[in-house]
Amino acid sequence: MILEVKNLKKKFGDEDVLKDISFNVEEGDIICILGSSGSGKSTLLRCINFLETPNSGDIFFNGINTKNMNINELRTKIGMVFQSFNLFNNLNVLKNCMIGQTKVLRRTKEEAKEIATKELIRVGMKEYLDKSPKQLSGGQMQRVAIARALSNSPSLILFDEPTSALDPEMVGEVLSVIKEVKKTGITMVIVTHEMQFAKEVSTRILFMNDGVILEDSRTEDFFKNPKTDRAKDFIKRFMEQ
Amino acid sequence: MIYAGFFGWIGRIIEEYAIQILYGIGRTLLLSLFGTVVGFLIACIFSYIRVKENPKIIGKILKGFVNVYVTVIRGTPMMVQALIFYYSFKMIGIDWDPLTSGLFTVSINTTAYLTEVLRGGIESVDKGQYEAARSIGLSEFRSMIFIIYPQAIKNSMASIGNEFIVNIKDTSVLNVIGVIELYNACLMAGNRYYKVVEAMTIAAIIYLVLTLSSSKLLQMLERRIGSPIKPIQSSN
Ligand SMILES: Nc1ncnc2c1ncn2[C@@H]1O[C@H](COP(=O)(O)OP(=O)(O)O)[C@@H](O)[C@H]1O
Ligand SMILES: [Mg+2]
Repeated sequence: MILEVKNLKKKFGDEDVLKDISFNVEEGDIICILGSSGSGKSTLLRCINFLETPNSGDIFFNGINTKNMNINELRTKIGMVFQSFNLFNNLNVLKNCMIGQTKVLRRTKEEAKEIATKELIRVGMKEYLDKSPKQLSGGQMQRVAIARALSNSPSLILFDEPTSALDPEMVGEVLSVIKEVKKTGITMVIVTHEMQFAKEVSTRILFMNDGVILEDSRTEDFFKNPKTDRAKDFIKRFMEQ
Repeated sequence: MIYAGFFGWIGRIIEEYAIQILYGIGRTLLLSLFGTVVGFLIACIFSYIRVKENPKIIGKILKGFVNVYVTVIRGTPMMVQALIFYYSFKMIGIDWDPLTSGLFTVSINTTAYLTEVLRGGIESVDKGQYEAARSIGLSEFRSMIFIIYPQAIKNSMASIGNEFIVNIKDTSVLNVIGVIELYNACLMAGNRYYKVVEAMTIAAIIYLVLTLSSSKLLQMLERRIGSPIKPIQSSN
């Protein structure tokens, strides 16, 4: 088991945003987290790599309680792709994908460059190595962000609505890059509103509502036999689109 | 030679005091440049202390110090600061010359202003930049050094340059401790003939040339570095 989340709770002020969340991620799993806006999906992802500090609960990574791990080392093993890309504006595309490798993983410049280039080729951004993020379209920025996450050779990548900030015509290119990444066998947890994509790509669905996981099912089961009315409504709304 | 009239006196003062005035220009530029560079370097450290979230006990003490420092220095005239530093150091047995004391004062003063400038620069960098830096494993310190500061400084270039230009003018107050910078050199020349207006006209023209050419130079430098980065709004 690559990730084990146990009884995770998170409050913002008086608001219980995550109410006792538990779930497991097996190696090779592609988990899509679905749920309406405000249900705590982003907060859950951000707790996994400690961009938010949970109020209680435990997170085990490869069987080790993350409380006993160095946080920066943990983060090199858990990549993150943000809704708003967050490419480093002061670095070009190649350097965006190198800085983690050289400054945290202590890879040599040559090695880092080689790996970064390989990942940028994977996401189809080979032609843009020396471009600044400002010169890229949203879709291109997100592809670079995915390559940046991959460059640290993580064993898990978290995606927080990777296509929500994109113009509709760019959603496709990013989703197909994620499908491409899937082929590497890397484990992924993806928060998304792209239901068709979730249906095609994921092995499991976590359906969240109001700070709890209402359903944790195999993707097929979730779409065929949702257990809760909430999930049924959610899927129905999607089918009607 | 016969000197007469306003321009005649200007000519005469320039002719007789050219060397002193040139030294004055040199000191004014030295004070402004030194103050801005040293102030900038210290401000890099102070602004970090100032923006650090959840500091530990030492960080809290440092933060308190920086806050008081910035408030006091920005809230009092540099002329008053210069007098206090110059004579208080003498009182405790440090016998320094006016120029050294002036360099000290202008650095202390500029530090306070640039600390605020850089704090603003840091706050203008989208929060997502910092989160992304942390998410790839960079420590807080390294995220600041490699990602946040380069952008914050770039965003602050205009204000940093402006601080240099302000220093060119404001270091004139250092005459109170006897620094013979541009204003003081011109004044001394003018006093020799009781021609203050003529002498100050010379000073004003030279100040104008210095500030305008610095401003042009800084503009060129800014263009070379590139326009400030427009942050992309994060939405998490
Ligand atoms: N930094 C924060 N401070 C206060 N409240 C927050 C913060 N982040 C999220 N929340 C609140 O937590 C709830 C869940 O937010 P979020 O995890 O972003 O949901 P989702 O990603 O599913 O839309 C929302 O009510 C949101 O307003
Ligand atoms: Mg969200």
